[in-house]
Amino acid sequence: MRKRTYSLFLQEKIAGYGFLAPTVVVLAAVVAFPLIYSLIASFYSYTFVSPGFNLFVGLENYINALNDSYFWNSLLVTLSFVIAVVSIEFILGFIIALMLNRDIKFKSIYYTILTIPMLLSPVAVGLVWKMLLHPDLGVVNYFLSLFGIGPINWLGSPKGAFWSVLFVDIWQQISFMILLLLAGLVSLPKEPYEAATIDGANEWQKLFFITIPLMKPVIIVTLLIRTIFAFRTYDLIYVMTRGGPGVSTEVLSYFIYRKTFMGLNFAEAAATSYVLLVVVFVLVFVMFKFMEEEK
Amino acid sequence: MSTKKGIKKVAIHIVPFLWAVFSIFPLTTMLLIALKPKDAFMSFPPKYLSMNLTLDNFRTVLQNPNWLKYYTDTIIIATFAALISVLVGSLAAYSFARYMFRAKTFLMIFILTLQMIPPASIIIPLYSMFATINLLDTYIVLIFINAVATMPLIIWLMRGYFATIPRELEEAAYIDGASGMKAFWTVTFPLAAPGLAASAIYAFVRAFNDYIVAKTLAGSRIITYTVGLTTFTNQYEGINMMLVAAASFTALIPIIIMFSIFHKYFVIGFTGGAIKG
Repeated sequence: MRKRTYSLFLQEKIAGYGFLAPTVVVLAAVVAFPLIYSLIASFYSYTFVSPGFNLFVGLENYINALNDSYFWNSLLVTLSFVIAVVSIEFILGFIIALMLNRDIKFKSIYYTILTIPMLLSPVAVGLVWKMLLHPDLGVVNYFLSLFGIGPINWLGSPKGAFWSVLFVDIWQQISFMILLLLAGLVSLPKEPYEAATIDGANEWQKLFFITIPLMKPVIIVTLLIRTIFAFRTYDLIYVMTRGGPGVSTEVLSYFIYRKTFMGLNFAEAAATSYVLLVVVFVLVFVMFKFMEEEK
Repeated sequence: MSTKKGIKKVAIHIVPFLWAVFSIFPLTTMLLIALKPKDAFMSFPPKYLSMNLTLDNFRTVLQNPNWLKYYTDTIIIATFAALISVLVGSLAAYSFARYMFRAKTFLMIFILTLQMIPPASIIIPLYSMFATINLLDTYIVLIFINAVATMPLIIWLMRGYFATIPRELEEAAYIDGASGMKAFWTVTFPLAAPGLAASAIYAFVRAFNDYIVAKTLAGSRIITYTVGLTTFTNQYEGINMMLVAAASFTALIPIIIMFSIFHKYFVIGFTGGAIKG
């Protein structure tokens, strides 16, 4: 009898790893290998003019990367972008999700509409909005002109470009937020609300003392996923502004790409991307810790 | 009290409505622009509201022989990437949902962290890697990378889905003498169909919409529609807005068609069956 349980346990272990093996192999090939490659390259003088691991330079690439004033600009742009999109999308998304969680008409139509933007390519979305925001021909300025508001060059000024990109990202990604939050809201237990109603609690009290505490795990996971994705934003920026005007919308993922292909200094770009990775890791780690404490 | 209640009721109905209009507005405007005749933007202010419509722009775009190639290339890549990603990813998800082994937590965190890496930081090593084995600008490389890129989220999604399928059903198969693999393919896998469909749609859409990989690792022999669209736009931007609008709109059509067929699965699967539309 004992031998049988043991072999079952072993069998389970083998099956567990066996099912995982294909994933681990492909992830190692496509993600882990390039990561290690660029980590090693970041300690060498590896450029496209002289590719190879001939000259070990230690931390020089990292020092150069951190001394680049454009890097600090990019980091600032990235952090403001990520914090702004995630928090605005969360607040708006949560309000809309709360409303969709009630008894309203045409719910399934709303679900369909809310899923469409997140399915579209950021490239196409960027192009569409770029046209709508065109200073002379765009429909946005056309509507504003009906109210006597003069033509605004949305993507032409640093501030305007930053807020426009932010706005378009919110337009597209808020649906992801709503869908995940709504999934959490729908699966909340009914009993606490019934009890609260009997005790005479009003809607706001129910929201702050029941809904938000119960939703905390869902909220944190949603914020986590959205933050991770927001750091990767590239296509939208590329299509709408190419980081411009100047470097006012140059997020780090675009900065790294530009540094590699225009600066042709792979090692320094690799070092920069590791700095970015550290920033993301720290942020995610803090959020994870926060989640653990809440449990 | 009653007016306050009235305001609340109106707000609950009007906010989602306004927001839905806001979501749809760019798409309808785009369609309207794409249907405009050539001279619509010659005058200022542009004639947005004139009802003089034509299909000429769509005809010009679709008669461009390159467009057909962009589409077929993209659909081939997205289909195979979705299949591979779902088959391989669901195996891993099943392992996380069912089995106990020591490295489990570590591997789960490892796979989730991979999702955090910005594509820009690994695309160059990938380029030199595939250049060495002569696979640049092929279907294989784009299928492979797109499949892997969607895998972490699919694993995360399917793990939750498999956890909702009762274990007893598989145990019945074990009693009948099936192996772990066989029980998975014959019992659990079919039962997870809605979750699998959602994952497949997600993977297809991600691969269909990919830009950075297709642009860096391919682009002369294999051209996906996002790469084609940006080239096309650079050509016509500021010259013929209607053509650009028509091109962007045709680019959205496959996704919209596919989604309208499968959207039920998508919403149900994506939210773990919590929302029934």
